[in-house]
Amino acid sequence: MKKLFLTLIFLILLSVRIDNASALTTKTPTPTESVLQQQVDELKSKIASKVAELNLVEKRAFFGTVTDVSDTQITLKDIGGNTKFVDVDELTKFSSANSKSFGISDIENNMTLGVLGLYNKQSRRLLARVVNEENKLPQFIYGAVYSLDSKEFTITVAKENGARNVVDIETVTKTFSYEEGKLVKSGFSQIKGTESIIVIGFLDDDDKKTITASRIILLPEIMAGPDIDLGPQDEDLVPSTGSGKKLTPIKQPSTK
Amino acid sequence: MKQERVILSFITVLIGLVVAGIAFYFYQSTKTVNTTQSGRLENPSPTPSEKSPIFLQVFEPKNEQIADGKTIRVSGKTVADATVVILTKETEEIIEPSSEGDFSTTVQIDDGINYIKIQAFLPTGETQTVQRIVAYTTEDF
Repeated sequence: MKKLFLTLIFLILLSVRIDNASALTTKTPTPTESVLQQQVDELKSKIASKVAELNLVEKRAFFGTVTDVSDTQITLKDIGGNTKFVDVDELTKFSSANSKSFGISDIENNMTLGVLGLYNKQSRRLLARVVNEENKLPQFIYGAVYSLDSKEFTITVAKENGARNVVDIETVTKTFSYEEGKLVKSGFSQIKGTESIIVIGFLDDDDKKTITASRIILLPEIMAGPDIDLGPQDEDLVPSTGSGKKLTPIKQPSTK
Repeated sequence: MKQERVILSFITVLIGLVVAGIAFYFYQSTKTVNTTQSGRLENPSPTPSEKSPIFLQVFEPKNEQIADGKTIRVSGKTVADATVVILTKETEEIIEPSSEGDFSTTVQIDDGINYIKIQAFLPTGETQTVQRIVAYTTEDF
């Protein structure tokens, strides 16, 4: 019994010695070393925060239509329909071709702005440095030639979404055709029906379906897309039945 | 005698636990975790859409990028037999991609905000479009 008791004490003492030995291997720093270590740690922390800050902020440019504005913030809707938040401070410069004294108070909803500044990836906000009033983007439409009016010099273009635009050709309109790997000059007389076409121009203020073309690119080697409907679309047009009978709409009897 | 056996068994178990504990401690301290493999696994290539036989990826320029100069590179990847049309407010450029589908060209931009539309067409008329906003400024901020 006594032997066992001694063995137990020996084991306990052994474990205590192991703990002490491992604790002693950790060297206690002297006061000078401690200060130096503290300085190194501070420097490391400063470098790390600066690196993080540099990675977090980058220069970026926003372009969009104003949806909301206050003294310190502008909300934009970009070309992809995304909402963008812009912060304005005393260092932000404002410019507009229409006004020399353009400032935050002149910004209204539906105005088109270009903003250059510092974008914070974490907050997803742009700190504006330059805010400029921009012109609206031209219309870039792709479709196929649906019809041509050689008297009025207009083309009706059928688009992929089923809509149609009347394209007004002016004397300033530049027409090109992409044939055999080359972009060559072309003209209205060379435009053919069902041909693929790209039109760059501006919407008519009075008629939103009419575009005044500044440039036209014809793509004769590319077929009209499968989503482009080149069939008749006029709602007033009554399709022929082949029987000579005119189609009339069926009137449902009243349920009352 | 019976009491001695109980104590002896107890000590044996205790020693076994201590030895196992030490062995486990050493095993844990020698184990290394490969940090490069601990990140989220991402699909390296986009899943091709079943609907559209054409795709268009634009590597350069990045959207909303502020360019260093007025000449910027437009590069990307599409299907090999596509025709790529690059349009800006003032210019147009049409290029054919390589047999791998890669394309690259340079475009001149103006001061301020620039809009670039990149559209790839298949001979059958299928198309894909990517839009980019790129700016150039001499302002330092």
